[in-house]
Amino acid sequence: MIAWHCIELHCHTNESDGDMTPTRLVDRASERGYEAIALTDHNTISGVEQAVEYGASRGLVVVKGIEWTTFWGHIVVTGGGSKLDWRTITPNNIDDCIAYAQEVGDMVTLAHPHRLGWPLCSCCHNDFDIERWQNIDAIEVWSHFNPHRDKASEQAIAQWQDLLCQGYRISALYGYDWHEPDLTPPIYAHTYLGCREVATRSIVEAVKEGRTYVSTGLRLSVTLTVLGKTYTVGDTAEQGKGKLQLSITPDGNYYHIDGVEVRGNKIIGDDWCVVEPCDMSGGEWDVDVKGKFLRVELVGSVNGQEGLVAVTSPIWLDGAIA
Amino acid sequence: MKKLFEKTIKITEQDAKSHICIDFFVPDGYQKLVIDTSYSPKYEYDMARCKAFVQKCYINADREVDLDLLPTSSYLPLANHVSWSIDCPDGYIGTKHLSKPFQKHTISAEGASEGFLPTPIRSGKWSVTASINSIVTPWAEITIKVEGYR
Repeated sequence: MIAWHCIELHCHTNESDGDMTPTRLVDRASERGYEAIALTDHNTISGVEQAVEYGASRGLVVVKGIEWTTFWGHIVVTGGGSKLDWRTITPNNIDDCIAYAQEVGDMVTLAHPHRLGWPLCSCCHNDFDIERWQNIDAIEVWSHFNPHRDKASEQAIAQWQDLLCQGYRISALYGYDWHEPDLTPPIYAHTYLGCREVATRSIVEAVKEGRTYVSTGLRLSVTLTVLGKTYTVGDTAEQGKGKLQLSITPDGNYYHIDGVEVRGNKIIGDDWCVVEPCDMSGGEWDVDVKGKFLRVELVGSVNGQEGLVAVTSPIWLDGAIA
Repeated sequence: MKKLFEKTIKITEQDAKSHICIDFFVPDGYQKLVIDTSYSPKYEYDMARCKAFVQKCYINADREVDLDLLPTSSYLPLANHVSWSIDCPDGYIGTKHLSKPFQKHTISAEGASEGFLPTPIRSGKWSVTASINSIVTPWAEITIKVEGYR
């Protein structure tokens, strides 16, 4: 049985350049209403055990992770299996390093690939020329603050869309890239994962299978019915005439939830896109299901600032590369 | 306490995106190492140099920018950034990725400062690696000091 959970997969502590200790991060995550987090400090796992143990005492699952913070970009590796020395990573072996992380069962996410890089943000822009995209599980299509209207988000979504069109099954994630307690945060977002249970392997599995969406605190139910069968985000559906149904529930744990509005639903395929009127009550639409995938973006505003308010991973269609 | 090692190295723009490994020897009988790492200068204030770097940054990100319209406070001063890793005789024990130019790292079997795993102080070859994430000044000096405690 799959249920959807609010889980933040990109967090830092004072073991690298964050302000919070591992225990403080766990406390803040609990206060925020996250159901699990991943601790992904820059190039170190020194805080992980403490966070996992303290999280267990607070009822919060902490997934082991690390952010490979290289000179050519940042890659989040989650699951706790990888023991790679980050200093060995170069543009020439990046595909092999990622393949190693996959071999040990970890999840590989391209972190904030289009954030401005050196010298404004230390090597934050992804400059790797990745060839084996089938080994990338997810891309942070949204990152940090104001993701709904950020140029880096726009560029990341465009890159992700291009990869989806090539047939790669890559999930959409938001990376809070959490460094400070942020008691009164600027506009940020949530990642929701469809998990069998809130535990490391199920969380990794959810991302690898594409059961993810990001939003500014909107819990979504997206279903597609084709030829009598019903599918949701991350499933593989058949092609044909279908009906897309969307329901929206505001997440009370999201700090700016009272300021979130929905105005439209963009239903997007590999070579087509339709924009339908939509509000917080959701809706249903007839769609001609064809191509490699179908995904949803919700258009709206947060605190009066126009932008995207949700992006789902695709419902895959027969024919996409596994 | 005994000073075990001290070294200062000059780096230039040619050292950007490189790892500089500095070895030192730890004799028998120590229980704790305190390693001070630093680099100077931290910031580049030269407007022309900074503008050129920021222009490159936007081009690399495939974005347009008019630097005459961008508030200089949004990017000045630019900063050097070095991460520090430590290896004991048995291998890698962690990295401290932090923008502060002066840092103190403590290693012992009982505990370690942020970024590093608790590690017994074995006699043998240890090393500190300076990873030059960013150098925006024409040159800088990095300094490593190691003190041993019995």
